[in-house]
Amino acid sequence: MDISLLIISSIYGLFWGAILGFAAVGLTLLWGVMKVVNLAQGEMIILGSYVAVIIFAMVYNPFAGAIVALLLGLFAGFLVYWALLHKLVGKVEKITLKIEMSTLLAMFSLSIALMNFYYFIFGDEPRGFGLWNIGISNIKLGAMTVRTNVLLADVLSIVSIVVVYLFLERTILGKSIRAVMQDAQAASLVGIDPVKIKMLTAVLGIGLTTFSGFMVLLYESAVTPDIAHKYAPLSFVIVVLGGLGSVIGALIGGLIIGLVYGLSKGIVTFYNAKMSDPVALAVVFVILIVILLVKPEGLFGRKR
Amino acid sequence: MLKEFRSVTLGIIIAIIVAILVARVLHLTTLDTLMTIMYFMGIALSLNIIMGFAGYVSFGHAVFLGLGGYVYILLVYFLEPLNQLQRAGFGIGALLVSVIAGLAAAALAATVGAAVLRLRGAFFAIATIGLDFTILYLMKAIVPELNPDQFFGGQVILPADRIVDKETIFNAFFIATVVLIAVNYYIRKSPFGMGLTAIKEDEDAAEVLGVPTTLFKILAFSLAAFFTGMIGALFSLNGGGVDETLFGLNHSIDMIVMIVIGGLGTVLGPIIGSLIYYELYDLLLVHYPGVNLIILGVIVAIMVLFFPEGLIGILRRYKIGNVRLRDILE
Amino acid sequence: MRRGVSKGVTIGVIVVVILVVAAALLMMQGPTPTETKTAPPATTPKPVTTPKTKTTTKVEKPIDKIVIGFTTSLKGKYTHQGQRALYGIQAMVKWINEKKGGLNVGGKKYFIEIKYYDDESSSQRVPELYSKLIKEDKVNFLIAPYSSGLTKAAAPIAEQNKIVMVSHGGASDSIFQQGYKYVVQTLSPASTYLKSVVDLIAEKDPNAKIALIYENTAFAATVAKGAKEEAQKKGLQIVYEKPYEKAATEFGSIINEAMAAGADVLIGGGHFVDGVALVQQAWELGWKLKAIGILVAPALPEFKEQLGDATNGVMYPSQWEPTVKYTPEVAKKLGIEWCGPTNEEFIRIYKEVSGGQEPNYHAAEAAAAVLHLAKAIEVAGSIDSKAVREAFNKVDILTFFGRLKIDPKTGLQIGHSMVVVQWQAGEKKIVYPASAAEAEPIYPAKNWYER
Repeated sequence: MDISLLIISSIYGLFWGAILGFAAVGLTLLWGVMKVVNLAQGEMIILGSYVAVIIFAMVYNPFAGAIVALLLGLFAGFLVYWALLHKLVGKVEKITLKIEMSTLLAMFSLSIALMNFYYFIFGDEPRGFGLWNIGISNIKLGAMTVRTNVLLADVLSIVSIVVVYLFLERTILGKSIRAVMQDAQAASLVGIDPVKIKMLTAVLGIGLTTFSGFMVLLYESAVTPDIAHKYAPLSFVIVVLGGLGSVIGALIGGLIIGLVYGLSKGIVTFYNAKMSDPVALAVVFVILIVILLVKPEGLFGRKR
Repeated sequence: MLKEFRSVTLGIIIAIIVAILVARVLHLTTLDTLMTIMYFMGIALSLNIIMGFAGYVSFGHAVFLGLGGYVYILLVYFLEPLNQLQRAGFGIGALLVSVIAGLAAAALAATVGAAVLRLRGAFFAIATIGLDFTILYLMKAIVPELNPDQFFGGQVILPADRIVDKETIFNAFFIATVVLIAVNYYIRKSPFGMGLTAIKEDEDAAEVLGVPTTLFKILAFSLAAFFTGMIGALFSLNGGGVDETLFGLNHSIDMIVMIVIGGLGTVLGPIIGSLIYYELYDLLLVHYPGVNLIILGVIVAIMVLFFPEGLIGILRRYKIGNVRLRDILE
Repeated sequence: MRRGVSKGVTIGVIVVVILVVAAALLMMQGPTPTETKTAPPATTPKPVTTPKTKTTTKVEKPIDKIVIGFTTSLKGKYTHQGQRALYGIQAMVKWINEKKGGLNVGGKKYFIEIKYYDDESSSQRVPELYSKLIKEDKVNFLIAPYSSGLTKAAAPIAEQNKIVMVSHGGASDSIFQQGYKYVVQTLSPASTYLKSVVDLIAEKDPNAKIALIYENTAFAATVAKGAKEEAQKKGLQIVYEKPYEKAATEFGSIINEAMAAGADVLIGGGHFVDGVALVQQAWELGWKLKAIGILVAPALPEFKEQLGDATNGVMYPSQWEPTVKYTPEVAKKLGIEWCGPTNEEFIRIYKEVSGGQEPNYHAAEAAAAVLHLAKAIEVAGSIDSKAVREAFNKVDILTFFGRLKIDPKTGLQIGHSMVVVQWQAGEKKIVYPASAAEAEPIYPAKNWYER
């Protein structure tokens, strides 16, 4: 067994993990605060990627694309809240199973519609920033070489997560969001308007999700509708692992999933390279089931 | 007055079954169209047992479809006696082999599924998605090893001497569908079904009232898995092979959407829902290719937001004369 | 009395529902076949159904038609190739109907009509749609969908119904190892795809260290197997071998591992999305490569749009290029019958049909499949599938696409051979084999190796 290959595989898993973690932040906020499972998470991520690509094609600046993706995501969150979610969860204090199912289906219908929209508009052609990079295309880290775009995406992801974390911990608005997450009824007693907070959460959550589409694009180097199918299920795993509503949990969950994926892929490769990828992914989803059964509140969530 | 109309539901069911037979005998449409309709009806009615009656929405139910398909195709691929059996008895043989596939699916539901059933609501839904992906990737890892020169990426196709003719598959499909409808109808009427409904309304209260909730849930889930597995097996046989797409979430979604359109927790709901869904799907595909699923998504959203009870659910609110429809539409 | 009422109502309901369902089924039967033909994209001209050349061909009897059915991918993963295949088929049908004046089958004149659906690149849709083509649209012959996976899904249906199906995009050898009697192949099988690339490398540099990185699908895995066998035969060293998941787009760890293994030649790939990402990331990671031979992706014009200068030096195996030199004269020299349009003629008609696009090999192989089938029908002198399948065994022709001849037992293509194309200064050039080459291969690829 060649240890260096295992190390490369694991480190690359971590690189991916940070991005996966940030891609799951929006999901964890919506799920934690509103008890809404965003089944359109993958489609929201690539919405950001596509917006970034379009803006990039116009001004040849990917960061402008990232900012537009963020802004458009905030607006999309506003729309999604008032068009779909408000009627289902806006004024409700205790979410029943029936409402939960309705939100699942509502978000689900959004995902079908969006996915088809992408195919209709963009087709399957991979779209990206071409050979754009920040000046140099790769950096040597010891024995391994890494694309600067991957590092950029990782740095941006981690910084963004820290910013969101500080916002939730330090600002009044952030504290209100956390209060509603913990107990909407009690929060309204101390003068917090839950409807306003829920709407803000939807705006923030979906905005962050589309923003993460930019990082995903940098990492994958091109976006196709298929990318949504790759990221959405993994986001669920990460949110469950990290705990609902926990932003830092999402980051650590992402890193764990990335590491587990990289490690198991590396290990299986030694026995049978063809099996490595499916087995690694199977391991990741086994983690999902096990966590749900053994510690459903996740690593950083509160006991329910 | 009410009692006499109870048989209306049964009448509609029998009429639909007879209509399929009539269409078959008179060659009103192709066997494939009929089988596609029965496939949709079958998967909707299977999921209905756990989602409609017990209120557990399984977003990963396609796992049983895929597992059934793989088990069937691999069995007849590698075992000559089963290959002989599936051609025997005008469809009875194929039905028997598909029962094995169904049992494999039921076994998964009764073991791993049983553990997952401890979860509720969204957590259950997410866990079933996890189960779906786990089995999908395991299949992708293991199946190619069974015949490395042929099963690339997990796609298995039946060689020329293992393909079965359409008439045989139709017969098997038809019997499976009739049995499945009967099972749904029976559950709706039986104490078992009432127990499931109690679980749907309030699981904790049901437990207190003495309903063996765990047993009932596992039983319902296994039954749902069993029939989904059978349908997946026959569907794959009809397609001449199986690949990973059978595990796709879109199949789970098909099932859920059909039940939602038709009406949760009834027998007629999934049947009518699947007929509407099939027509809708075909119609949208014909007239609005490219945007067909966008329109479908909007329709589903409207249904969920404004008509959560589904078509049968809405009808059940009304009366014709002095007959309350909720008494005659099950 | 009450019982009577209830019975009456029940029977009434039953009758009504039967009528409604039967009527619905009948309606389904009615409009669907003509209408479900998925509307082609706006730029696609209507398929040629009524030939305008009636006056020139002077046929007294009413014209009979042969209907050829197929699905193609206008959505999803294979949109690129599927759209081009569709244009190719339309172009060849147009040539046969208008230029050739139809087919002469046993003394009777036939025109070709096509009927197709969009399979959305999904192997799930394919069996259903092919059954529909056979049972509802009553097509006489089938052309397979693009890609090995979809062809595999269609093959059992053709076999079940005993209808000849010609494969133009199903290169995988394993399709033809199932004992199917009605499936024949027009393009070179997958196992031969990278052979010429490996041969070229062996000629230039016997010490090359090859990294074989390929998509884990029926097609690419068969290609990889063929390439590996050829490399071993030529005594080349494969220092790194790795399959990756279908449509993967991140190759960081794979490329790092290959670099660590000291590889200086990259061969493999799969389809479009993954091929582009693989080449792009190999470039960005600064992998010093003497040669790059990738499947499918570099053949498409979008490859250059995405990758700019990085494309130079990249090679790909091609079934056909607009610049290949198969002519009636070559046929005479080889002593093989020439059949079909010349290269220039095909390109011209293709441009008409596609609204000015250049054909690539996905278009040409689909067009050649129609030609191959048409020839077999004429040889058979019948439109009976069994007779046509037997006639396929006798067909040995040279076409614009190259030589076509199948292995009688399996239906595998054995006559056609592939060329190697290299991107040089933004242009595609045939560089191998020497007999067909337009330019010398650049080896090692300077911009990749000396950076």
